[in-house]
Amino acid sequence: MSVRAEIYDRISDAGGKVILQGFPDVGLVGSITVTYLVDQLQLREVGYVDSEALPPITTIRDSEVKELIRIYEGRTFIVFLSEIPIPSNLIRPLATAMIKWAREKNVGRIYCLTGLAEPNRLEIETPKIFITGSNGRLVDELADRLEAEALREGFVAGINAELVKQGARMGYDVGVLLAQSHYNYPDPGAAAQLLLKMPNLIDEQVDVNPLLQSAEMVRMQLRDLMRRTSDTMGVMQKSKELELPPVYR
Amino acid sequence: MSVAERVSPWEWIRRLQRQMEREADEIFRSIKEFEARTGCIIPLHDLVESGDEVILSVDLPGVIKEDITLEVTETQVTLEAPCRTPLPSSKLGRRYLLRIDMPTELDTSTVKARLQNGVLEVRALKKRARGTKIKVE
Repeated sequence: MSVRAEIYDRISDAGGKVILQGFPDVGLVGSITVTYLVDQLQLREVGYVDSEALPPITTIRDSEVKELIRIYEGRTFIVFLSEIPIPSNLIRPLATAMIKWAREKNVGRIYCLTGLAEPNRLEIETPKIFITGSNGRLVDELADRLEAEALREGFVAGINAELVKQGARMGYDVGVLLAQSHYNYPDPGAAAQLLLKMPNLIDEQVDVNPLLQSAEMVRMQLRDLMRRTSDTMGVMQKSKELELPPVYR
Repeated sequence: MSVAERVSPWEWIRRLQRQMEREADEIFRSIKEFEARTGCIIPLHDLVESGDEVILSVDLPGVIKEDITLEVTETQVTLEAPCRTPLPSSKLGRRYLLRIDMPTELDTSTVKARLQNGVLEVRALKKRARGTKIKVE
């Protein structure tokens, strides 16, 4: 039996808003970024993703039951976040479901927010942002708009890879914003660099100082999620992102 | 799996995946049990062999370098440090503890350590077996 991903939501028409996807990944950069946006902008929870591939776990927050993969809506964007790393057998069906859902709901684009493992992260004061995506036009446009560098050669792994690949096949715009980060440690500093791009990406300004001031606490809080995510990243060959592709075309 | 039991390759992959998940969960459980029993936090860490060198990095948010006790032997690295950050849960201890076996013997006279932005990096050269340089003709 193949794994399915079902999206349940209260959005009838997204009216061209974009999706920000921040599932647990390298340095938990995407997770930190979207969680901070949800918290700072006090976004409204509007849906969730369900699948038989998700473990039988539920989150309790303020005595309320929370779904593992949730959807929030902001003024110009929609957030997809997850409390757990996406199981490897859910990656493909989830990417398919997200693109199908995005098209049905009139979502403009999908942006994946993530980290780019940088072995010399300790030497880097201000992490750089790299851009890749489902087509060259989108990559150039984003690189220009965000004053970031286009990723010309490399590998992308995991849910971001699947979204980009399916976006390219279906002619749907999927952009990936990668901030240089630690591979195995939660990296709020890298997430802050992504947050600084939000005014030009989604026309929202957020103050990153509270995040940077509480960076140590964030790192402590996310220790367990990082450990779980590291295990999952190993399964999906995430370390491949550290390699360059061979030269044949 | 018995020889007589025939399963599809997909089922075999699913079983393998479930086994890996169980093993990862077991490791995770043992970490949490250790932390609960000792009141110490096992920090996130990464051990890499790079050429002649062994590099251990350890994520230590809330630690200052003066508080770190670091001991390196040829086969093991041990570190302890108090965490000064107010912790998110009272379930956590207030002290980091890591004891880790090295994948190869270290030359302890070459050990260098630095703490930057809450990440400790310990570098040491591998102990070399004595050899003779041969000129290739």
